[in-house]
Amino acid sequence: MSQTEQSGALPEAFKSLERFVSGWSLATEDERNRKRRSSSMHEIQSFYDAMLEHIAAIAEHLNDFSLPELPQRERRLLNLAFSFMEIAPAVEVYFSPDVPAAIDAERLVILSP
Amino acid sequence: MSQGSAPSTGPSYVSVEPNISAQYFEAERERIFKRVWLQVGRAETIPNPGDYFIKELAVLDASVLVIRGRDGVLRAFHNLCRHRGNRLVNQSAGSAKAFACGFHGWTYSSEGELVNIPLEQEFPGCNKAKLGLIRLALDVWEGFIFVHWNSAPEQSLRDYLSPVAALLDGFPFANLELSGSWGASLNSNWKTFQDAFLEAYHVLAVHRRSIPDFRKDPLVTGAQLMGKHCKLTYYQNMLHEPKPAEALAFKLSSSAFLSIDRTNELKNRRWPALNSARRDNWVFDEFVIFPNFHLFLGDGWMLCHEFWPTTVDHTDWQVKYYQQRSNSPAVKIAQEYSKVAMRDAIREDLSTIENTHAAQRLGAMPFMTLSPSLESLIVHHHSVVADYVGARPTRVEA
Repeated sequence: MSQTEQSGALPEAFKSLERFVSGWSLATEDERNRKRRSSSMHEIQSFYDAMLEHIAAIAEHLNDFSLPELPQRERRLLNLAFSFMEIAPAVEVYFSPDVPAAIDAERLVILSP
Repeated sequence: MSQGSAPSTGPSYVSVEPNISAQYFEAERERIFKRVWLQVGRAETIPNPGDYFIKELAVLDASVLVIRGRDGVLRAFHNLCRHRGNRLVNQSAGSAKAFACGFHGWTYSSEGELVNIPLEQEFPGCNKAKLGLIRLALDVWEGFIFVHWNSAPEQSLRDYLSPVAALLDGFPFANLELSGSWGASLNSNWKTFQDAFLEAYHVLAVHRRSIPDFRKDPLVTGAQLMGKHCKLTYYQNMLHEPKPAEALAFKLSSSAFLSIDRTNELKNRRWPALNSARRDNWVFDEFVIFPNFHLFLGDGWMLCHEFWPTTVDHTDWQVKYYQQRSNSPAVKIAQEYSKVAMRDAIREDLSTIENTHAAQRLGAMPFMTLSPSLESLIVHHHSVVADYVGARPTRVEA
């Protein structure tokens, strides 16, 4: 696994998630979707399980801030939460990293921020 | 055509010929796309004087430049220099004090006036006042920018959008912000592409994984004709049990994709056009603005589809997903769920379109067999197209 732990990368309460930062704390929808599609179900499930435990607390913690003024560590945490939402359908709905019976992912251009 | 319930008389066999005929497509270009108001974007994307974007309209063989002038007014021009016709602006969007042609430097103001000709003395008697950028008509309804090929259209935008405009006047579009933006170029006729978004019948099969319990009763679909436009209403299964991420999204934000009207804000009759049947399980209404703009409105979100034909066999499609404006990180987390769920479902929608078009091109299947209730809006849309084109009715005898 190339996921290296970045100590201090996340707020103290979410230290246990730091091992996911390098792989999953991604800034754009396109990056997060590519990461989802290039990951194994095992990797996705590990990330999902770890995040599910904390996601409500993450939302609560981040809501002490306003989006434009998020400090770096909180920004990383938010991007992890976005990645959780990106992979949630793979675990909860599709049971597969990508959407089965859909148009090829590369044919849908993701222009979102 | 009058406003009313969708017709349900007899089975609908619709010819595929209009979807595959190059001659028919040429007629559509001339008789539809050059004669109607076309939605090209949102006004808030160019808020300041000098802000502009380019809309490439292959169906008109045109590049259209939309600029906000120093006077705050939006105008649309052909993106070409009046000197010898070179393309004036290449960057797809931006902001400029003036627009200089890269060929010889003829320069235009943000209001489209020709303000400078280099070595002007070599053009004796040239009247710059008559050589401004060439206008297309432009008008704005609730922040949606529409242009018209004819600089002086016979019908105002307001009249063209009737009765939809009046139904949605004052809708708080300004409370929404761009959340997702996706596009694809498919080998399909534009109408075949749109057909995939003109009925909810497909949800049972196409979305069997993503939305397995969307509706208990597939026959419950609200379809309403509105002149050349129309509206489709989608309902949710009230017994739907959200999975953990979805449940969290609903908890963090009052609105999420496939949420019902939890706040009852839309049901309070400020916009009676939405959820007009006042059902508890209403999810969203889809307004189909003829010819190629579909506007989905839900509780705290909107989805704008544009279907732009390039040839009879090819369509460039863009969709933009808007959600409630917010600076709350928790709300953004919830919105990310909605955005991803929407995008994944749309990829399912897109899975059938090229196959369908290719099959129609084969010539082996002369007509589609459509349900007069579930697929009435496909029949309607093809009929309106035929009316404009002046073609014989597209319904055929099986």
